[in-house]
Amino acid sequence: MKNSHVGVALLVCVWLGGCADRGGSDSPSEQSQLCIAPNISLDFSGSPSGGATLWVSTVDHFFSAGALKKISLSEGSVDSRNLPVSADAIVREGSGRYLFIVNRLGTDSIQVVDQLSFKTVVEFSVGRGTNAQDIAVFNNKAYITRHNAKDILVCDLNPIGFNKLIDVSPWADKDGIPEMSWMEKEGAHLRVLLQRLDSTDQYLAKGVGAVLTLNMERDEVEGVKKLTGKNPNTPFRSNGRGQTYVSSLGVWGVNDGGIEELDAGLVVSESQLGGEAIDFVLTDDARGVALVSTAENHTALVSFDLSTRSTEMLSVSSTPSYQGWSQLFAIPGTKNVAIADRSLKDSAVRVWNTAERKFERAIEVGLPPYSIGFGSGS
Amino acid sequence: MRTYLLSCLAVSLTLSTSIICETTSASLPAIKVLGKKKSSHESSSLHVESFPVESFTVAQSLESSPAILVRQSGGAGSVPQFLVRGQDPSQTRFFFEGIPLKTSQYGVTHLELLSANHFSRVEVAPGQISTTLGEDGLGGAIHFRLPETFSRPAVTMRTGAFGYLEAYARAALPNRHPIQFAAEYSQAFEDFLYFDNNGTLFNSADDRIRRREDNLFRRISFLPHARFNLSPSSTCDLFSLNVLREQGLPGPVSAPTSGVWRGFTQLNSAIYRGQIKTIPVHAQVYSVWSQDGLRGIPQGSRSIDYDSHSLTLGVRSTQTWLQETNGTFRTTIGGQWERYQMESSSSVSPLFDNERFQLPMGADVEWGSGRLRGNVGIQGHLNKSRARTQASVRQDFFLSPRASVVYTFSASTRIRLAGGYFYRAPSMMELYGRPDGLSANPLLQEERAWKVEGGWDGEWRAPFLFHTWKLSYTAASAWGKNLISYLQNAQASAVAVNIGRANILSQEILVEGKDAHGFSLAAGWSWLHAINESEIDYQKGKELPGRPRQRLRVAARYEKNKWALGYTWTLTGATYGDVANLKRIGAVGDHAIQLSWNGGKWGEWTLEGRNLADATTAAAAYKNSEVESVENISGVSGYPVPGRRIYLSWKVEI
Repeated sequence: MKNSHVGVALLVCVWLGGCADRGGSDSPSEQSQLCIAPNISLDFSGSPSGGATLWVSTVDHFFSAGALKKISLSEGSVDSRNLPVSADAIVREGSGRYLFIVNRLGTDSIQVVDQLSFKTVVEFSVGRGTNAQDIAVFNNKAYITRHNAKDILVCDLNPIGFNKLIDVSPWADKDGIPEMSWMEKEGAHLRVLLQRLDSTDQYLAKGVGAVLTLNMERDEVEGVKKLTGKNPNTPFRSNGRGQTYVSSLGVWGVNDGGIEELDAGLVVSESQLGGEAIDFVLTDDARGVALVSTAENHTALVSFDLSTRSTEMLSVSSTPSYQGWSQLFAIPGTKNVAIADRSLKDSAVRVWNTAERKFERAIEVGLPPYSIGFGSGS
Repeated sequence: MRTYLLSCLAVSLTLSTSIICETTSASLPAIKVLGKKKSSHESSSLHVESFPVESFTVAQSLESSPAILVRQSGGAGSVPQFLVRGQDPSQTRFFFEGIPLKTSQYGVTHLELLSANHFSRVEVAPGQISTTLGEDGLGGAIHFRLPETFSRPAVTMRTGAFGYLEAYARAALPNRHPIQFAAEYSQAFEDFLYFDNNGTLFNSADDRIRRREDNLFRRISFLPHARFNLSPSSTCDLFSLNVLREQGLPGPVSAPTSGVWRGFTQLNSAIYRGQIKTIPVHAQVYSVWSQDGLRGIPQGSRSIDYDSHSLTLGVRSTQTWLQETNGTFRTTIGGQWERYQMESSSSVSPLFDNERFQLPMGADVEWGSGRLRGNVGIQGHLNKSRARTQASVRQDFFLSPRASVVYTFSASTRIRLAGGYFYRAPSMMELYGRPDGLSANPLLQEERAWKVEGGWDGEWRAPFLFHTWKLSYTAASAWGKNLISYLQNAQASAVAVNIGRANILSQEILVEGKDAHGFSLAAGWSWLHAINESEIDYQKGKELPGRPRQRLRVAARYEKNKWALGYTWTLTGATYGDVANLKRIGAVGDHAIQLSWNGGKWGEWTLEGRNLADATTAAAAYKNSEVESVENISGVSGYPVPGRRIYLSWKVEI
């Protein structure tokens, strides 16, 4: 996560020129710079066409340069082209033939990529220094969460332009900023994860996170529910039964988080998982796999059962998660899970076969993989 | 002032009690003059005797050397970074008249203390640090030297772009024991315009020119310097550089200003040059005391203040045991203790409280016969570091052998060859970390590098164009291993690890020419092949970022009667901005011009224009069809250098 670099950035900047993470509302002059793009018409409707594709954002270990890579699942090949994206960019499934890239702190933009031509068709700013986190599209409007802002940004998509800001600061923690991150769309409703970290103290988790529900037809907040865990850090994961889960990291090094079901509380704790819950995916309605940072600073792939609340360690990597297995992605239509392995010497997208409980293949994508998304384009 | 002098004298007492000031000294080495070096100790030095264009800043004084790449963002008050032969700035050691300017806490150098008015010459040793300086480092040494002789009283004023104002005055009391006082005030507001692409490389619709504000810089410095001529051949120098400064911290491009840095630093030193019995001795005792405050550093929605204090006490002595025509033998021993503390307003306990004791020692033998002279030396370093807050102690011992040889063909032509195995001890921050974002790594090892270089220097008279020509060529190579990089190891922290390896091959050519009619020309060209040899696949074989392959600097000056016109063109080649070589940064050209008029009793007036083609605007105007590409020279905060700058200087000697 980009906000995780704040401490490091401060360290470097204190003597060399300083840095700042500003939180708050966009000033009028900054607001005028939001969602500006050339006047082009994009068709965000329809279904993606083309073969199944994994889109992978990659970034070097110093988070200085990133590139988007394209893996054709049907052909099993990696496109040799690199599309420039920011360091630690997030890949989000797009709309129609387009894919959205969320460029976070330092770039703070949404990059729209044509999946077929593998080219950027447009990019627009969401506010310098606001640290974009996620994007969701509804009725030709893009809802964008920003970690260092008090408002959800709403941009029109066709044509691209500023629509409105939706203030969510009433649900912030004491620093006045709710630290919005992941979103999930369900019909006309949007779930927004509020991490509620203390931005005045190294983004430590001092209170529990929350989930805000936004009605996208009226652009109004319908309610906010507190989670049981602190520092919720993963995307929402839903199963076929309509149950939605999110995982909380809590305080690093303390087993105070875990996977919880919205409305039902903690289901699998970090103690049961065996360490810090880095990420998780669901592989069917009741089961899933999680990435866990162990007390030895190793990274484990752990399977869990939501109904029996049992866990089992599947595989372990001796590298810390930030230099090894860092993110999971359940590949749709398969029993496979893609793992972004950022190991120093043999980084790759590793595919874990949950049925056969083994690594099926490793796909090298040049730079270490960071975020994985699914789309078309092959 | 009297109190001040007394305190300086008090510092010297420690020295004078142990040193008998008697006879002939081993004087400071002469200024490095191209093609005239006598000693193989200095065989890696490369410096221009008189670059045609006058230097007004520290950066200008160094950019004449082709071995040094100057990276500067911001305006006149900003602190540049210097890369010597492509090595990281943290690997080069800077000295102010023998006082190390490195901080063992951060491993960086506080060059903002220095003003070009306070030194008369710079010795550049890109290959190695002399054993007599007793410091570690892979990237050579840059030594700012005080004047050897006390100059006449003078007043200098300089003003120019970005609210730059500088006033300098010096006065001397000439007697048997001369004393000189120098004081300077400088300021710059530097609210410069820069091109902002709004972070969107693929969208030029939201580009704009923005103003970077809150870049205030103010500095007051005071430098008394006394010389006690104890005998015809022995001297004791006392000096004290006192610097009070205030500086805005501009923050990165995407964020607002990061507060203000205010600090006071005092460097005191006493230097003895003479003999103890029959042994020539060059001894120095020094102290560096610094008190800094960072105010209003934004963190989230609030700001935090930081306070830091540091004290360094050091002593170093070089003894020349044998000084014959065919050889010399000298040893150096010293000791240095440093302590650094920092507190923040957001933390009850100190962020760190670290100390380091260093015991440098060195020896070298120089011998010569006829045209050939050689030198073999070794430096040892005992380091003992302690993190008081973590009750952690670590002790290291490093050794660095080195050798050089010079063969003189004639009075004006020579070849030189030098090599050695060098080290850089990890900074205490790298070892012990910081609670706000850096983990400790007590297993961290020192950085190491094998370095070799060879070169040829020549000077001759020619019947055409210029009556005097000088030419120097140097090829150098460095193989670095265990290089320290920072890797993220948890959600909010990184750790320093020894994963880096690099091979750097460089070539430098320096040409100087002068004619009898007031025309002079100098050109420096450097070629750099800095390759990352890290074991990380996507880095191996790639170019190290920020190291342009080619750099060319041409300067010309024409003098006639009271007038002088100087012109400098610097071309910095393309480079990469990241370790994976995905971000290419284009080449940048820079033009500067100086027009001077010496009005005698009215003083010397210089009008100077820098970056006349406005590389910033030119870069902003360049966009290719697919991705906006802004070519700029940017520093740590990502800002390009400001556009055109004009300065007017006035200097009068009384």
